[in-house]
Amino acid sequence: MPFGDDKHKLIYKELVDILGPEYVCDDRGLMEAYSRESQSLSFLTRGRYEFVALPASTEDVQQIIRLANRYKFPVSVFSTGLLMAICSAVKPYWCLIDPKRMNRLHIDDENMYAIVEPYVTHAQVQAEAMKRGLINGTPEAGSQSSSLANNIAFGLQGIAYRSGFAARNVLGVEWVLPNGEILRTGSLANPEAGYFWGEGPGPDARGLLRAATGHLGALGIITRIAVKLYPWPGPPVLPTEGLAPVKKCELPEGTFKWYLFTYPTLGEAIEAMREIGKSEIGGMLHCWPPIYYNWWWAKSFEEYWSTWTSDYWQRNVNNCVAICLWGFASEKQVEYEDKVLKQIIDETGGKPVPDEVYQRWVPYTANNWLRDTNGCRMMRTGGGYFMQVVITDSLDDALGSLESGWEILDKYTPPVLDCGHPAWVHPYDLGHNALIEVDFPRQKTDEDDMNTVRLLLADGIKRNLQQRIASHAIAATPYNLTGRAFANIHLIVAGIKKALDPNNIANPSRLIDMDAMAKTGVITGNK
Amino acid sequence: MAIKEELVGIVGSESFTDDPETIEKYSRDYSFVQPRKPSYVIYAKTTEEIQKVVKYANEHMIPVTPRSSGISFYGAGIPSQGGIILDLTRMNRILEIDGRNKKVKVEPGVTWAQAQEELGKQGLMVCNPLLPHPLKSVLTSAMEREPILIPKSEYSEVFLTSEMVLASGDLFWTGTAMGKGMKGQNFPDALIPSTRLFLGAQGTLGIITWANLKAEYLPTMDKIFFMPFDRIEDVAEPVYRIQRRMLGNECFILNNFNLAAILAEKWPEDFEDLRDSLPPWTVILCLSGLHRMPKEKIEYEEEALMEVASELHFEPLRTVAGIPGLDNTISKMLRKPGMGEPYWKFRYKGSCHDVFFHITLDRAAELTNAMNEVAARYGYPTKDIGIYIQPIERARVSFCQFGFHCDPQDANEVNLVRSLFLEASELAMSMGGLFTTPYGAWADMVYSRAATYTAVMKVVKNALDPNNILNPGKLCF
Amino acid sequence: MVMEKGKSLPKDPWHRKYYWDLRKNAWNCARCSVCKWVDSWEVKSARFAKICPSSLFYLFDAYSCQGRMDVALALIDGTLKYEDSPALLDIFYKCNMCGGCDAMCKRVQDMEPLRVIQEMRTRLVGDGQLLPLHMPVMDNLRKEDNMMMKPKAERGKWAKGLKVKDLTREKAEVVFHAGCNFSFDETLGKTARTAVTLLQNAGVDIGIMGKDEACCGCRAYEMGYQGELTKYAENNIEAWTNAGAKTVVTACSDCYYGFKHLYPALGSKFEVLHIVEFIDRLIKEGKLKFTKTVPLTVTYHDPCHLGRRDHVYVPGEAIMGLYDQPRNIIKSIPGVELVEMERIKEYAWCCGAGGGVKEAYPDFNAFTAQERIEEATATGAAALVTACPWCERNFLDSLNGSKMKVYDIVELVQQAI
Repeated sequence: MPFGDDKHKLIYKELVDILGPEYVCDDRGLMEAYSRESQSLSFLTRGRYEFVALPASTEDVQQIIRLANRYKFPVSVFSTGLLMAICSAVKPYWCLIDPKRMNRLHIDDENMYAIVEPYVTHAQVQAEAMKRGLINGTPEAGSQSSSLANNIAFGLQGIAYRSGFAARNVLGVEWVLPNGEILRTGSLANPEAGYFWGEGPGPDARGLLRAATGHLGALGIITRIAVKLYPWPGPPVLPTEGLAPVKKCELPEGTFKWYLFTYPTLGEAIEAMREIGKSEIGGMLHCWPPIYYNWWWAKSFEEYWSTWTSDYWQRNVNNCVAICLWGFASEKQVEYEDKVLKQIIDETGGKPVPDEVYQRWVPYTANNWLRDTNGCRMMRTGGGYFMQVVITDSLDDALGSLESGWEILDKYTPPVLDCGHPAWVHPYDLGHNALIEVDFPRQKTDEDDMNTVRLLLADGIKRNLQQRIASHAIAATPYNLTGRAFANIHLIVAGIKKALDPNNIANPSRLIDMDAMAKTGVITGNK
Repeated sequence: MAIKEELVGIVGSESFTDDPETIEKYSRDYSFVQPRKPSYVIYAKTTEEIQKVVKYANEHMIPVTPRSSGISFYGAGIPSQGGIILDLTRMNRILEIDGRNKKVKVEPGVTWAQAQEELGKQGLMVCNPLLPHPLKSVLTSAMEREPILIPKSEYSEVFLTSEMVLASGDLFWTGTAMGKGMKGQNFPDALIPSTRLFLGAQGTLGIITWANLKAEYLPTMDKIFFMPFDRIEDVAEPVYRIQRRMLGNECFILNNFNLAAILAEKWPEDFEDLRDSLPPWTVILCLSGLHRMPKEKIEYEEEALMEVASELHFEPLRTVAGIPGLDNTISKMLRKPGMGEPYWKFRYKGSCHDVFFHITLDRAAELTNAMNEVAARYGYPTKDIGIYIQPIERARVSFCQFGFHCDPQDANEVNLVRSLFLEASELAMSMGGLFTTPYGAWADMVYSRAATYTAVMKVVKNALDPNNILNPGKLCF
Repeated sequence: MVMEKGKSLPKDPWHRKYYWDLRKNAWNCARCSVCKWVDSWEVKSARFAKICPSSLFYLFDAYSCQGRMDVALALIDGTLKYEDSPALLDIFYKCNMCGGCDAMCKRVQDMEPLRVIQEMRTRLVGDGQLLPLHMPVMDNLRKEDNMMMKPKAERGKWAKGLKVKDLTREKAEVVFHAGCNFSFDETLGKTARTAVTLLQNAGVDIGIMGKDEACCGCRAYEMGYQGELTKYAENNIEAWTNAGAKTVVTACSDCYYGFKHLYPALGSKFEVLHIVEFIDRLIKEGKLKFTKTVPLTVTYHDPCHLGRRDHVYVPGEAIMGLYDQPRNIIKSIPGVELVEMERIKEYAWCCGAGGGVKEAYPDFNAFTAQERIEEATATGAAALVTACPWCERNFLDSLNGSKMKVYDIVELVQQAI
């Protein structure tokens, strides 16, 4: 593309006229800082943005979108910028919205929600929430990632055993549509009401906002949301000791208690979790694979690999249920739940991990799942990682995907790095549903991305389609490629997309590739 | 061929009627929504029948209004533009009860009475609203997002996945059900549009043929507490604190009118006595234990409840107004539908018109006082308003319902209450009340305030039902 | 990959055991953005959650550590040329070199991103890509051997009347290096005097270079001028050797960092101590006793070069620094109450002055300092105490009407003696 041609200059000038020169850039050096990250396959982020714009408000975003419609240039947005492949530039004149100036946070502590703009992190929300006896879920992406972006796009959060999938944690939403109109949903649809509730009115537009994954900006830019907060019986400040990276976080005894106990098979571990969910005890409940223990615990390359090749975690925390009891009501709740848990462990044949293992891991790492979880530790191993399969469904339904997930992983290992047969099993909403995730570490090289990882992921999607499994990978694949297998949903979405984004400026090719749809001659169905 | 013949050809004569008496019955319900007649009533038995009927209707631009319940309160099932009533009450199978994964799969005609009984045999239940009408469809309650008595976050959003028939006659699935033969079908979020888009749609976007709903384990032990308050202003803080400590299962607030109406056996004597002797406001909290050490669970929760009570100077009691065995009486009502005949809400005067909306609990008093003021201006006695406040998701929001009663045979009363209903609704909306299900007259009130939302909904409607044959005239369609 | 014990391991040995490599470090940045924020576990409020001043002030990602890694990689690989980007020098120089990003990155990765930025600056200067805004101070340095834009002849004025060995003529065990800031700043100079006096009273055999003292060269180094560091290091090492010194003590954190971490590679074998280490030691040995009460609530600012930058990177090891010694001193002073800011120790916010920012970007410099003053004010403290003249001067210049007092820790100690 002729970077810097007349159209480029015109767009630049118009953006500067809207926002001011200090908030727009097209300098190539500055652009380079928006060009890559470690999760996405490298060939998916080769494009470069031509502009980066920093709006300060919803109205600024609206003006950028209107400009984009007038001059027909594509726009996408990211906050932290993890998984950049979902909004990287694939067409000329692409403008990235960087929402750094949109960083306001307000908490309604009585009614347990936080209003966030795009550049507020999970950690910021949680720090303010904890002062008020509240907490939010934070994801593997890390709590330095954007609360808004994570809740509207992904959101597999550490306390989801209680707080559920991120999709149901979004309340009122303020949303600039691709046509430049501002949509306000839930209670915001009543101008007198505010952000407090997310439903409707009538059909719920949050159903367009996101499902397993979000619309990724293809149906507009979200400028403010309210997210649910949950009761937190813990201290107002997360208690820590030590200096990075050797840090401890131990929650007050009496109100919190971690247990790790293992089973001979994953199935038995899951049945134990099912029973725990049925008994409705615990504040956090997970079954992490040994690789997760190593990922979050190791503080260096050398420590990671020496520990991994010694099979330390594999021997000690395989098929391990990790539960933290929380005394929401009082310490007596923890005492009660302790008894119930011991009953369950006995009945199901669980075996507590050796104290040495417990002490090595819990004080240093367990509470990452409250406040940190930084998935970028997963990049430590070889520069990259990715998700082979991510499914949220009932425990029984989700489990079935694991075997085939591992089979595909085995096929590509090496060069995929050793990870055992990982399975993160995370019951949601006291066991109504569960997340099953299989992650793998990889060497991040262009060659491996193209020749291995691409094929691995494609195999995974094909397998999901064959087995009729609703994976997040399918959700994130443009619907024009998979829609036929799912009630021709691509035709419905194309109709909505065409009506809301007639000029196809909102993150084009993501969610649904309208150019590809047009090439196949598919009528989008609007009258 | 005439329409009638074609429809009979699809469903059979035993599933079709256009007799005037039946048509008349379907033209109205218990709401103020203007009665309008359909032309035909079809009693669907299978998904395939529904597909064929809808496909036919779409080709011939005939409106189709689905009805899943044998009873309708808010006008959603009254056809605005004639056409076909698609009565789904005969599709009433419970397709699967899955205690392991805490879900139940139901057809649209499964009623509360049916569901709770069947599920109860396996120690399960679907979280119910307050005393639902036994003929009410469980699926419809979940579709319309009726608030449930148990304000646990983990229990909320009961509706998981579904199969539906679109206006084209094609099948569509929501959530992880998302296509034919999907392995899992238990999670509402897979592809966009997710399940949520279809909730609150009053049958305008698709006709549900089955749904997976969350099921919960029935407690094995309950202990109910009643907390009386003289002033509505004093109710919020105790409820906030109780919920913040995650105490209890069912938790709801009734004024004396509603509690009396629920408890009264002999009318009107019992009712009047009860209304006079009950406290103005009662918070009802049920502490429950599941299958492991339920007694110990209730004990620690009770201790925590007493701590809150001591902090805020209120008293959790085992009864109010000296009513013997009240906890037992309420306990039996909590997880079951109410009586059908007479329906408790209609016992006072024969009909009841509810103004209901969501508002944060800290404003419930303000809105209550506003409703009282409007009622007073109309000369409607405030003591005759039945009020129910339901904390939702540990009191992050509350559902407030104000019942205005009138004799349906008395035109003056009906007109008064209709005017009161409309003005009270407008006022609540102008004070920030969220009407999440804009039935009847609320639709215009809601959507006239939300131009862009309306426009987007019309885009969605156009994508799913370009001929606008599914329940046209409802919401903003 | 390689196979080890039947497991597929990374082919690149770097991912199995870290070693310094410029390109690998730049490439390894995962864009997690941890470098922009305080360690997640340590975030105590939304207001004070950022660690990176340039990211907060300049906003575009290029002004964060992550962005600089991307740009560095592009320059190293040749996909970006100097002439492609008018903003290029700003990208690398609008950075205080505080090391906050580096410390936070090490929480989750084996990386030395600050070293990448440093090497890129050295490379830029080596390639003749000079920031014009640095020219005046560098010209003055070359002529007058100081970073303060002052004539050399005025250097010794801070010690006027001070009875202390002149190491240009005498010998001593310990050389006290005042540093450019203390030497030329008339307000701050008394701290240097106090420091010397304290040490003398404790029986330390101490001397100073006086007007012949030269710059440590560290600030110039951080601005990319390797040659100036070498020159001043060699000069200083020779002068101290001639003075018979074994130990160098300073009250300036920049100098301390340079002497301890940069000079050894240039031949220095001196023990290097910051005054806080000395004072802390004296208190513990009972050789320094406080006789007065100082009723004051204070908060302590960790100078970057005394804190997280005073650390030799070993992957997986805690980021050590002189965090405890100043705090021990403060807590020992009768009447003083220490209240901590939200961002402390290895995740402290920078004063703003470092890395050539004070010299080139006064508005950015002031912003950074004001941010810290707000944070100090939020603690309720009456005084902000630090252990570096650059920090102290920057805070004093940025008070903007705030009633906050600013002290060097030596001044606070002096009040109690």
